[in-house]
Amino acid sequence: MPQIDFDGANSLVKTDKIQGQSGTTVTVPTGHTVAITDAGRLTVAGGAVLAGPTDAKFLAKITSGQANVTGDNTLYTATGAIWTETFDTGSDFVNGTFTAPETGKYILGCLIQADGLTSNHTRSSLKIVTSNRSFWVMDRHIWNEGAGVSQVRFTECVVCDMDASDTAYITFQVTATDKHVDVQVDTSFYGALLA
Amino acid sequence: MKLTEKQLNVLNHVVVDGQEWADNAIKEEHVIAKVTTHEASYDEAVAKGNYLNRKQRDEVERDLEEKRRTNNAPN
Repeated sequence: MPQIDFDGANSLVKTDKIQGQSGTTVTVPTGHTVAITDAGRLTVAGGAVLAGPTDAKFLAKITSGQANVTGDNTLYTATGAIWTETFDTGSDFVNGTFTAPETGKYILGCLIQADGLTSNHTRSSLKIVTSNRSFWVMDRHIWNEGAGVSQVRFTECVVCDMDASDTAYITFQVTATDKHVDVQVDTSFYGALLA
Repeated sequence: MKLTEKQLNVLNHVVVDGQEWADNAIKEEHVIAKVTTHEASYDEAVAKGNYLNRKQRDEVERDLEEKRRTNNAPN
């Protein structure tokens, strides 16, 4: 069976490189790689396309602490010029809102660092709000879960379907009486196109 | 973007405010694609009767949630 060696300069037919085994499996030996040139993507069985390095992915953090945003049942929407992007392939993330550049399955997640909690703060909820649906990813007694300390951190994520131009952002809400809950600088929002 | 009544209905089936979504879409073709994707689901839902669009469904869900919160406050 002919076998192909990509040696960096020429395509050679050799015997010990990319191998066809049992007529159905291609094996790439150690030290050899397969490069995908179509926008960095790999198409697999059924036409599914695996995301490549140029596809949407982002990580952003709150630039500075946002004081007294909730705690009295105020629904805090974490949008506005409060975010600093660690990376944002495709520039799809603006001021807390991610806009899907194409239809696909995305993973979206967030880390919330909440501070200023007291025993007056009971129920808390966190949602990842996309155009097609809202994901109620967290609903807890924040004071009890934090074992009675004023600062807690938690992370949540979802895998969701997004159509091109759909948006996503996060909301955070704490009850019940005192609007003294801050969202601090480790608070992050992140996501990536899966396929 | 100027939407037909059917396009707006289909978008409102999926998102809270179809016109706002369309106005903020990156490309007009994204609007067309989203309508195409969800049109069958919209038609099916309407055919079942007692149709509620996304905004109306959210309001029902919100009311239920308020009741759950009231009746099941955490300890």
